[in-house]
Amino acid sequence: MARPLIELEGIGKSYGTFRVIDGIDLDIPRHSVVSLIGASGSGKSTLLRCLNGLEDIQQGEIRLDGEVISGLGIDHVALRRRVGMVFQSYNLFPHMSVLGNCTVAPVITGACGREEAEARALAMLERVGMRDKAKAFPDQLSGGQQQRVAIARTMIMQPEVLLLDEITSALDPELVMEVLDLVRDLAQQGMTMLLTTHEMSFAREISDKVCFLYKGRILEEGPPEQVFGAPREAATQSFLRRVTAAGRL
Amino acid sequence: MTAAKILDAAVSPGMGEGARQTPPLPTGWPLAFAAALAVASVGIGFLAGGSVAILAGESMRLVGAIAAALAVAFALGIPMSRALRARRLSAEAWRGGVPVAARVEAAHARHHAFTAMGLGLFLLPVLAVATFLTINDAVVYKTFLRGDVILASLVDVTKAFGANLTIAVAAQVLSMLLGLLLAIGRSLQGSSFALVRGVCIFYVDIFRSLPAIVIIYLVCFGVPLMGIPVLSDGDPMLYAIVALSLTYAAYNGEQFRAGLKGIHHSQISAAQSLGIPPGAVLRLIVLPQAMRRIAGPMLGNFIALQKDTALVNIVGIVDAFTQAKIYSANYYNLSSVTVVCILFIAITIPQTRLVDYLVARADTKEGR
Ligand SMILES: Nc1ncnc2c1ncn2[C@@H]1O[C@H](COP(=O)(O)OP(=O)(O)OP(=O)(O)O)[C@@H](O)[C@H]1O
Ligand SMILES: [Mg+2]
Repeated sequence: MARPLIELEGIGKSYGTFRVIDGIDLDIPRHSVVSLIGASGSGKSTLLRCLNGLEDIQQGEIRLDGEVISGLGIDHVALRRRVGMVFQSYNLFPHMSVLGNCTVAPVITGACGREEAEARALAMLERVGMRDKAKAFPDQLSGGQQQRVAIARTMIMQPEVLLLDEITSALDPELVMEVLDLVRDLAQQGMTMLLTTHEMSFAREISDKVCFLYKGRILEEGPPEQVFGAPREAATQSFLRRVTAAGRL
Repeated sequence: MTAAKILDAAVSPGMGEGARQTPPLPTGWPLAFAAALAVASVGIGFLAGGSVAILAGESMRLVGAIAAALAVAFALGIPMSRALRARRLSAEAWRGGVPVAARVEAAHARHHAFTAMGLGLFLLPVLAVATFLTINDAVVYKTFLRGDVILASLVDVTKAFGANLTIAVAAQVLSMLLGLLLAIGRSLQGSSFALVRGVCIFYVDIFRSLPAIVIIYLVCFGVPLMGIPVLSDGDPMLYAIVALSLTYAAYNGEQFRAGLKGIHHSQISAAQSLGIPPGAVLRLIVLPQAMRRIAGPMLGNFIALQKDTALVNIVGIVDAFTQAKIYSANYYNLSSVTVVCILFIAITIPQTRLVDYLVARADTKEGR
């Protein structure tokens, strides 16, 4: 079997005495979608942020395509061009137009010239259905449109893997679908993705693998049918019962 | 009829049983307050009229006083009489069992009473100032507002005001640069930069504690005294600029720091996640957003700096104030200093309006 694109081995991280991540092993094969679910505070966002060096880890090792990307001496700026990330909110730069948001990174990092960056940006905006808003500013867009632009902006950098941290949590319910549709498209095109979400039915549908995080550990992982359909652990069962009661499944 | 119903009937006469009505809002105290203000205004109008009219001749005094008092009484009498009439109508309507009309008339009465009050609160200080300026044969007016002295000093004082503007603009540029460095230094993370953070905090603490006039004195007299080659042979203007830059760098630095802190951390995470290098994150993402937010308060600091340029007169630089003092000594009159006041007011008021606008914009519209 081919080497996984991302390998996490014995990851540990503490804030002071508080153990946020407590020994996590996880493989993310190329072209696969892995979802992290779990209660608030279980360490989902922190784990994601460790993967592109926004947080450092104290134990273990993270490898991207076989290369170690955790620990001292890592060029985070270079790493982040390979590992794209989109957040829950405040993604777009409010003082730049949609096009400006999309071209600032490729131009400043020298990935390509301004003209090529704009051409690439417009093509990507076309793909997410936002080309006609290229000149608009973020405050003129709906939350769903903003998130689509944020995803396009990250994709322009042609990352090898995409980290999505609850990208629909701050959206009005009627805007969630347009963003999830886009993520589904990306998955079909073979984008490797690691995402956290509260949209359980979406996680169930899109994921190749679902991991249930509990107190900084992966308590249960497996194909979505197994984790959602026949959870083994009591904590997973009670978590799923609670989200079902909240109408999220 | 129960006791409660009898009570209700008393509160809402003629309204029938059970329909309890809230009485109109009070009109008594607004009218009383307005009346008191009116009496005071008429009195001070009498004084002001007298002391203005006497400038046209002793015989005019009483005429002026009475004319002014009557004018004030007339101006305040109109809203007062309207208020009284509405109050009477309100009471009649209430007794007549028409509570809605009673409330409407009470509202009118209050409106007119407040109008009278507002007019009184305006006339009172204006008339007091007029009295102050003209009393005792207009001695105040002649001390501060003598036309011939103003005209004689106008050109020289305005020219010297150029020094104030030069110092202000140069010190603003320098203090913003230094302030930005202080803010960045103070927000550096990690143990390696602990000492840098310490230095920046120390600098800001020190220079915010010291009066600008003391710094100007120390720099402008101290540096030449030290006799260091090149450094000690500078222009006093240059020292003044440096002194004010040092002082205002502390204020501007704090302003920058507040601006940098106000940027949502997700903005920085998002920029970093795109692979934008740290320097560019600061330059392209953080600073532009911070500047929009702090433009208002920053301009406020600049206005304060402009006014503090008048302090350089203590080290003998010929600014507008120094020049005006020369004229005031020659003429034994302060009207030349009034010119200085007018110049400062003229440049400051447009800027304060701009500050208000910028602050309002930053409040209402995040970002752009
Ligand atoms: N900088 C920090 N300092 C201290 N504790 C932190 C810090 N960041 C996160 N934590 C703690 O780490 C824990 C995990 O946080 P994390 O954001 O990863 O949770 P999460 O699973 O993403 O939750 P949510 O679903 O609410 O987003 C939380 O208890 C949080 O309080
Ligand atoms: Mg989270």
